[in-house]
Amino acid sequence: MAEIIIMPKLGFNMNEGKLVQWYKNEGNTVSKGEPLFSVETDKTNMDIEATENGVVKKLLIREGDKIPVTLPIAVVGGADEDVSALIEDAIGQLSGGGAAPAAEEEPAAAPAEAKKAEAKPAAAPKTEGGRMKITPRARRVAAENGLSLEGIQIEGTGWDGGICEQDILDYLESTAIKATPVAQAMAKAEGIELETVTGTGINGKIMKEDVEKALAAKAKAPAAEAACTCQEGEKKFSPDGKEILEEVPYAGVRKVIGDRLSESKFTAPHLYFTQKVNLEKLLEIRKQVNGAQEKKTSVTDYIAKATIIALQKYPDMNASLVGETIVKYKSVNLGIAVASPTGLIVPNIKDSQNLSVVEISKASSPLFEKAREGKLAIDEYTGGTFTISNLGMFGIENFTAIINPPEVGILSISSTKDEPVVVTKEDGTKEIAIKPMMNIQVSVDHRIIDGLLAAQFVTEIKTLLENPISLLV
Amino acid sequence: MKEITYAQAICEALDEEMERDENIVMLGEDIGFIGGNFKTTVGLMEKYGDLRVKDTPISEQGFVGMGVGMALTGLRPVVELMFSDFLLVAADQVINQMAKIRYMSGGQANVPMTIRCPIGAGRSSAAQHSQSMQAMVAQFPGCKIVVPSTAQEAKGLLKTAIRDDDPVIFFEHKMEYNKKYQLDDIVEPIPLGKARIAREGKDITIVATSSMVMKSEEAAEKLAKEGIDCEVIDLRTIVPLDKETIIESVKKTGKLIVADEAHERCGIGAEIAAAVADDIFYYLDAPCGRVNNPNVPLPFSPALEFPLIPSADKVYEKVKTYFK
Amino acid sequence: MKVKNYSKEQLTGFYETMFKMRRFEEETFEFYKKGMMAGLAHLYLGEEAVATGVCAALKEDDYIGSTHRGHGHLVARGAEIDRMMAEILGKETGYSNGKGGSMHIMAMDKGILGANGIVGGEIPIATGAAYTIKYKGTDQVAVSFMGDSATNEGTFHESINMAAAWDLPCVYVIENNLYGISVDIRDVTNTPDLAVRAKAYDIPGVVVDGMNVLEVFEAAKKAVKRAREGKGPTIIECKTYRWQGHHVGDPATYRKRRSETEKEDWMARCPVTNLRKELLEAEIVTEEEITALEARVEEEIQAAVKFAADSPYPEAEEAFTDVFQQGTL
Repeated sequence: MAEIIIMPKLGFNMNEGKLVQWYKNEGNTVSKGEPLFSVETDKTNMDIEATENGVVKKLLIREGDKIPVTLPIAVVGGADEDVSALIEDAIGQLSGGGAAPAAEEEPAAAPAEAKKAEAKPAAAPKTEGGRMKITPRARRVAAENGLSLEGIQIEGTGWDGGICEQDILDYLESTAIKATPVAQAMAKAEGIELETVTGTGINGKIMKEDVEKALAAKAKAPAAEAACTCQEGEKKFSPDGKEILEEVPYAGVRKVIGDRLSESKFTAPHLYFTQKVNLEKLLEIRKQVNGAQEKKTSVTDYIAKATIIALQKYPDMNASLVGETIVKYKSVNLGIAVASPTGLIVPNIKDSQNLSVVEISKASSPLFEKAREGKLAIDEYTGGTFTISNLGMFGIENFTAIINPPEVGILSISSTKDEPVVVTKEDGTKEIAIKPMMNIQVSVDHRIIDGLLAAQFVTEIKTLLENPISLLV
Repeated sequence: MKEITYAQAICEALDEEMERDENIVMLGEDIGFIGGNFKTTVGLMEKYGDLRVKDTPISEQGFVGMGVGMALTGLRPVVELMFSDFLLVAADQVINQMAKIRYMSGGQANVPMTIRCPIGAGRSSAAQHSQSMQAMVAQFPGCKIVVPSTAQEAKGLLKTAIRDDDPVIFFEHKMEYNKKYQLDDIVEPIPLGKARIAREGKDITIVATSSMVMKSEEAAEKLAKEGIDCEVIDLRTIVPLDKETIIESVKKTGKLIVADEAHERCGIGAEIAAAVADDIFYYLDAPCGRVNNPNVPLPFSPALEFPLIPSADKVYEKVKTYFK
Repeated sequence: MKVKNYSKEQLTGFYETMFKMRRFEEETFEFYKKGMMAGLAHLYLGEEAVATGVCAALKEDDYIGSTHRGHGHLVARGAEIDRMMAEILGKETGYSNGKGGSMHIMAMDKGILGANGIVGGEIPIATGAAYTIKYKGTDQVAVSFMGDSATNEGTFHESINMAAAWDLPCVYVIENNLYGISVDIRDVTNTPDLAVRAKAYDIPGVVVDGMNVLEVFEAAKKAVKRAREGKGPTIIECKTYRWQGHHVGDPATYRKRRSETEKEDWMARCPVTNLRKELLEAEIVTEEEITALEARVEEEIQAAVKFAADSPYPEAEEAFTDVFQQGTL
């Protein structure tokens, strides 16, 4: 049975999707579960599998095209099936949606009656009275796994053909990237993202050979696309004679990050305030806390807690500019920047406003883990309200972070170093002592945040960190 | 362990409780001289005398009302109605008096009274002696409703019912009376309001009352051979309703069937389905199902009666509709 | 009955109880007319001699089952009238914290097994109390008050049949005020006297003037004695009349069907004013003494009215209490 393939909505906030790659050409046969195309979302690429067996009848958009979600992108049908009516319908939808179809030639004309007979709605899940037939439990499991149901194509096997929990679990299982352990290890060692590898094993599982193939393709690609004018043996040179080490396209996740940061830096006038924090007491308390329990807390956890408290005291900082409105949030979804295989990513702890230091630690560890493995779900790195970025572990003395839009501020944490500082003793005399000191800096969007508020905010964090008992009560 | 019938287990519970508390007095039709129409009070009149085990005239309103008066003045009457159908004859005393006096008095009075009566079809007793009234009385606040399954359960729950300071309607199943069961030598009272997981499973929850528990277990055995793992919950009491146990189970399985012998309309199944939808809608992976007597009176002819009675096969068939 | 046969204390006691009932019900009627009372109340005005005479024959640990027209029974048993009035107004300080109202004022500590809203509903309950007495072997009795119409309920027959068969210490008191709401008992029952039904159970059945407290008292004394001696139940039918309709909102125009002056004729036989007159004429009490007694009762009534009016309504959560003694709803 013919069906229209649509641009999937892969996250709550995803409005359009970019087609990265077609794995099949027109005329190719495709089996259910086989990857059909790859879509770039905000920060990851995702393979989408075919939901029916058939032949790719028509590809409606080109690789690199960006179109709104749920619009048709291809038509798949039976080998001998006449799907011209369906193609026409899909093109109609596309042009109505404002996206240019890739198809240049007109679809083959067919008698009007035949069109009617053949024209079937997209094989979306069975619906009843226009509503998706899905059980409440399946809906919940989908939501828990960050799976948007809009436009999704899942065959229901539950009550009366509706989608049940097992269908969602099967779907999630089928869309997860499957690779053999050898393939995984090899990809990791070679810096190959599994998302970009086409699997040829059973159910599209990525095999060792697939990674090898991807490696070979990667090695070849720069050669083919290199913008060099001359070549000497293995060496590559730029037009003005500089020897090139490697050429990487500015695209995909790198481009998303880059574009967002430049947008932030150029639209939001940044303003910075630095404070020096004495961490002596905090390090002592952390030692006690970690001695008393299994879950080890990090300095970042305490800084996160201090930031959360300060954000609740100064809710103007926990805000975003949405169009013409400044929205201040009660929820503190605290983002913590982490290095991931594809660049810096900021998972956030949802509704962190009431969490204790230990709870923050427990909530953040799995997020960091997933971030490092590139496995964050979309909803785990969107929807933040404020960000902290800690480069202390790299020994940085001081740095300035760019605000993660649409937030209005970001806190940069530098390393802790023993420094001579002047301390006032109980009797009022002063002396020089060696204390563990750390620089923190807040960057704010000056359109929304005034200097005084930013200064108060960063000072509040300093005060909290220097009186760490207040973080534990 | 010993092997005795369900009726004997009931009789043992009555005997042990009467032995323990001399304020327990029994009223009912044919409970004395012949030891009960269903032989649940055999030997008790001989043992405790005809003032404590009283054969009454056929005056259900009268002697149920007397039970209320006795309960208000310091006794713990156990009143037997020969068939649960007769609750309707005594309905004013059961529903307007027994169940409401504590409330109307603002808590001044308790009515520590137990009404025992058998439910269930299967004896060609026709429309007025085959009904299961547990759902109907559950509609009215003020009395606790017990629907025991096995003989062991019936004995333990009857002891608690008698000791309870509130009115309790205790529904025995007449088709169980002559069945033999293994019984512990000592059966402790079983708390009211705590359901029993009769069989653990992960695929579907079957909440059952009275003999439907055993029928559901039988169906579950058969289904297990087909790879369907049923959890069977013996509800034990309809009031209080152990929602917690049901909800925990349905959270796990996502599917619920309620098996009860009363008529389907406005029954326990509807009540539990609504309660589950209220509390854990997003855990439901299929509509809640019911296995009941259909909404027709029970007919006389076995050819008509048996096809109506909820059976193990009906539970089996119902479960199968969830796993096509 | 001659007043001379009774002590002054006993006679003033009868009068005080009847006067208190009279004033209690007049104030209840006032509550209704002033819109202070929700729902309705069935007044005992006119029937005071029945409850007063019967309850005078009882001991403190005896039981009574009361009816929807039950205020008089409670006053006669010595229930606290301020808590009664508070209950009638649905206040938190009422006997049932506002959950019962006029029809269900219960005072368990006075042996009152409930005022029953179902006609005939209390008869088996009082009979059950009599069974307890027999089982425990005490010398208590149980009295079942009922209206004329309750004698046509199944519970009347079922209960008295059992009480007679088992010699239970129960006294069945029929307050025959002639009407079941609007229906004249004489139109729906073939015997003018209801007590004749006692013959069917082979127990004593007596008819007394329910407007005369002494006659009622004498009959009750005899029935109670018989019951205490283990000889079984008695039916006492008291011929009486209610001044008002079935309840406070019933104009009772139906009563003119038989006689234009039916109400006035009965009111001329008022048990309260007639006893007062008799006590003064027989010089058992002086005008000063009886006025002082009335003033004392009036003071108690006014205090009760004030208590009830000033008491707060229960919190809405109160509705969720007292369903069960143990466990959850």
